[in-house]
Amino acid sequence: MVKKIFLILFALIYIIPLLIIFTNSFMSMGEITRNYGAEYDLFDHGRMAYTSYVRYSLVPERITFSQYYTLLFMTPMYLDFFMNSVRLTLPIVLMHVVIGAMAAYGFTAWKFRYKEVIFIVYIILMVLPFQATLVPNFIMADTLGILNTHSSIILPLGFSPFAVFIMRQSMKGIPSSIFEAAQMDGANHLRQFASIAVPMSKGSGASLIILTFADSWAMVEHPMVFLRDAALEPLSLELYRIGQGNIGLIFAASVFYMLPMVWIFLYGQAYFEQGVKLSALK
Amino acid sequence: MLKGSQNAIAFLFIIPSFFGVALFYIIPFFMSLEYAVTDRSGMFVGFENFTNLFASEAFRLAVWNTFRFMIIAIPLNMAIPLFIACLLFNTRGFGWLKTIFMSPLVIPTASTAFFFQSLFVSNGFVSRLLSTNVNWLQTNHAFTIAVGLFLWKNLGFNLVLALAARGNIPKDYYEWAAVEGMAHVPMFFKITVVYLIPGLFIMFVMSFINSFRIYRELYMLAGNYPHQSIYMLQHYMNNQFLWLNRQNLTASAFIITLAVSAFMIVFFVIDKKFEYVE
Repeated sequence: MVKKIFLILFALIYIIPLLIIFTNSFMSMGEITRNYGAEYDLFDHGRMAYTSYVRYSLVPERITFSQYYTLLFMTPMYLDFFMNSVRLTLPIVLMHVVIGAMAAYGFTAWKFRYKEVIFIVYIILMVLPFQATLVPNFIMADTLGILNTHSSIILPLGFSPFAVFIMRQSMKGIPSSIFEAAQMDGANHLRQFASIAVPMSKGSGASLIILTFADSWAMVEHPMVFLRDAALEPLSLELYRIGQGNIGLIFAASVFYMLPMVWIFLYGQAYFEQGVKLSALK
Repeated sequence: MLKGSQNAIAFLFIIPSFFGVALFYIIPFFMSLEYAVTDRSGMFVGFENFTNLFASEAFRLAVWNTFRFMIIAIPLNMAIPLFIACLLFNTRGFGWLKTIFMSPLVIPTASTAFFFQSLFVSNGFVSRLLSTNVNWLQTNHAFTIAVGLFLWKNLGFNLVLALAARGNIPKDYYEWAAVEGMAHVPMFFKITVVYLIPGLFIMFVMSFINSFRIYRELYMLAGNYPHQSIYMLQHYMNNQFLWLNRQNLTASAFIITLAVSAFMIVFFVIDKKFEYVE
């Protein structure tokens, strides 16, 4: 019993912010400004003018869609920002899956003495913070003349070694006897890749898609560094700016932002857990 | 002959990835090193940038904070999910709770930051509870808040991993142990903990990556110059970028790359040793 109460209380901490975001998105902008302190200036830390304490409320005084209406019809640029997020995220996810799966198979099948040494370089690049690879990424984008375009973000992220790592974890777990049997039957690498390695790593592929999608959809540092043109910015960065002007919109904008993520999570969760079970623990 | 050509074909699968990694990470990394050993006018200055860096108080503070954050947040982000996973695993009908623990992953960073601000600013919820007007983000508690934020955001993923690892332990082991008369506590340490070890590797790697990524939240929470207890290496490097100080930025990038490489190589050698023991 104690166990159950503890678990429920702990879970509440995790779910409350989401509940607040969702319910508050149906409040009028006036109610939001009142609840969070009228002159509460979200990201301006210099003038934290204090008017009243923050009050959380899960039930709107009156349910209204005014935030959504303002977001979608009065400020059409948010649709453009949403599309920018799509244009950035989809190519990155696609590159991760294709390049990652291929390279992971290569690393599994290729026989080379110093293979693991090369792979350690991949792992190091994978764990380094963005700020450490910022200058190299920037130099190359400058050299290729792609600064201030979406490509300057998509290309370095799309080639990120993370995908190779995740896919390789799962391919390592495939018993080598399966590949050997296929070789006996005369299957070449393309065949082994397409009919053994890929189908048996579906779960990991799903985890990879979810993680990459979540990470790219939430990008902040990359557009700040590589994009000068505000019209190219993704929604994740724009949400940060909403607070500076119109905090009344932040909840509806958050819900709008979360829709694709929630969809992909709900859709992929079963695969995701199966992938985690099969691969990550090997 | 055929074997050799097959091996070459296997290598071809890695080529696209090699190409991209070399082009966007490795080659420009060596190109960037030029900045680390020259001054702003392009004159060769040897290790001067590095000695300047270590002399800088801001850099040392940033390194210390990042290190302190990692050695506190990463173990917690592994221990707590394992503990919750063991509780969840034995509690019938509570499996769906794991979805709730994953939910912070979908919330936009800006909203997470907004929510944590509404908790901890001077007119925030915590101040209200305590009837004060303290901006907790500007006190030494900022560090604790940062760790809490990290755990809130990243615990769910590790929990799924931990649950999967727990699910992989065959029930028989516990039954045998019970037949042998083993008590609950030694059972936990001799079976549960031992068999969860393989899962720790990936949990560690994910926590390590995400511990650097906490910068996103911290930046939105407190800007470029947060309280000194949460001024991380990423803040330092980002500010160098904004000041167009490529010398300091590249030198610190080089140092962090070196440190992470050294750590990862040691980690992997140890991990491989464990694999052979099994």
